Amino acid sequence: MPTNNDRYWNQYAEVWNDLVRIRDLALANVLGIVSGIIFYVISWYFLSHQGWAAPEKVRGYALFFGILGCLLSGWLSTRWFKAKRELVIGERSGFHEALIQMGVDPEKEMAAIKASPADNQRELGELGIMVDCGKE
Amino acid sequence: MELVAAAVLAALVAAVLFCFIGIVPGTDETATLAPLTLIVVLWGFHPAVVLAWFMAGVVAMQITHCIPTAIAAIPGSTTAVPFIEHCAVLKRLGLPHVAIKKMAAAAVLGSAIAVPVALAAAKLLSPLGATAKAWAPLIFTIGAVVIAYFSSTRWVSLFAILPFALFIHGLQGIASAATGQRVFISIFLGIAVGPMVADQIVLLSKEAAQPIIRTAREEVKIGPDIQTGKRLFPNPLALLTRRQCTTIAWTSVLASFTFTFSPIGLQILLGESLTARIREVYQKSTSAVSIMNSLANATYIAETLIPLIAFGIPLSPTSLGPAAPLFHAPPRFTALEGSINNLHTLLSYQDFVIFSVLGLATGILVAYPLTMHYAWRLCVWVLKKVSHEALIGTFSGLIVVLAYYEAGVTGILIAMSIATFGGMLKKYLGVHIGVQYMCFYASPWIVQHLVK
Repeated sequence: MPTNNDRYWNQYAEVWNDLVRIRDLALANVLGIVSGIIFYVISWYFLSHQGWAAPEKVRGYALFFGILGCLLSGWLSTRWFKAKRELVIGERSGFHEALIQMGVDPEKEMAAIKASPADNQRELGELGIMVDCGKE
Repeated sequence: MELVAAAVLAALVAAVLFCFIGIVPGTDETATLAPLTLIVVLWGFHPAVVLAWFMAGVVAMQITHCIPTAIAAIPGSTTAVPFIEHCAVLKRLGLPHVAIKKMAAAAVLGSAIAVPVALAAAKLLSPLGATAKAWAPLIFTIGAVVIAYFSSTRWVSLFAILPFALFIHGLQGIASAATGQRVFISIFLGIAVGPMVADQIVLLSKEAAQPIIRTAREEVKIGPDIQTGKRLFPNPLALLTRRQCTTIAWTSVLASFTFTFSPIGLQILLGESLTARIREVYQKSTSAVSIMNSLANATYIAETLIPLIAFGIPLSPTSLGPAAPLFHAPPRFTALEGSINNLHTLLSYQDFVIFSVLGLATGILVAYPLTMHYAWRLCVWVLKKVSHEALIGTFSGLIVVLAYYEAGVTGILIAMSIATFGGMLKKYLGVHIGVQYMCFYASPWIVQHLVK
């Protein structure tokens, strides 16, 4: 039986403008932070204690490995936590129908197009919209 | 010659990386450009290489951010938010491919115009540099008040200046006591990721989280792939109408003279007002998206180059945020503690011309053809494969590693504190990140003169 707590952690939420699962987000954060720090600290230890790098360069190299750890965590996260966006690839909507859906009168639109600059009309012509818009 | 090769290489890496970041929905410029540029600075690359890297990153990101915005009507970055409505209209009309082409062409045109104008404007303004430097601490304080006053949340932003500046000063005291020195990276990045952190902290409280909980996965509707045109690098001028070209030209010039304004504010102000009188839906939407995206590029370029060349201190919203590591990234670059030692002093005017053009050209050469020909396939791949959790996790890791690099555990705690406070200020009170940055830079002056 899932508890209330489980249910909460398995829900979706909108964070930083996109959809995430709360549990996955928490795990991805932990993974990113832990792997970044572990890579940094371990590389720093070996670089400084084993004398693999000049003392003034140790921090710079350790930073490089820390960042490598973060990128590795990102790669693992994309494998473990799938994207939550539900992609629907639809048909291309007709210009005429779309205008009606948006509450725009196609006839008035046609009149406005005819009054617009020539290069704008040419663009619409090339897209096949002059014909599409003018149809009944 | 070696330096030019290194700069081109760095610009290529930045272009590819930021093409990808631009396509990922919702990635904010400050939260991505700033830490990654900071890393390049701290690794000790030559200032010219850093400049080329930044310029290539900016233009690549602001070309490819059009892709999810046009195809899925979700913003590819923060500067894509102003034209989301117009993109949604073009998407409904079955014309997302037209929106992408117009925006990419406008970005190229806007950048091409903004660079020479910004370089000239910087030259004109450079005699004022010494005065600006002498008065910098006071200018930051006045800047905080001015940005707060002109933001959409005027009174609460003005109110927040003092407590926020005091809070930062207190954290600096803790840093000094713990490590013997003041911190920059931890506070700077804490502010940058504040909104991302605030959203996550809210999830720790079931009650507070209710408004952002979603019971089902929402559908992201995208149209079919529409292939048009075979040329690898289509002429941007041919993709825009004559009126769109002239409007982009003069608004991109204007961006250099309003370099202290918020890029998004300028995009909305000019983009909406200049298209308000167009009655025809197609022309209105294509004009709005073109003007706004050209401005996204032009403002970023002008707001980076002008303060950098003329003053050496960050005096524009872009230089306070995404471009800040070019100004101040201790121990390498300093601009805020009296002496200036950054790209302003390390590069000649000629270097600025060569390497900013080099960076931008590389960014455009990678991002523009990619966007023109593979927009749909790239967008579908990113939306399907790259989870938002992975992205947030990676950036959380990067911020923590950079804060640890600067000041150990103290750095992490300071970054966390500032992200919590600043993020909540933004999320619940609408106090803009620009105001928060100005408070950060103004805090020494405020404490010294107003609180003592």
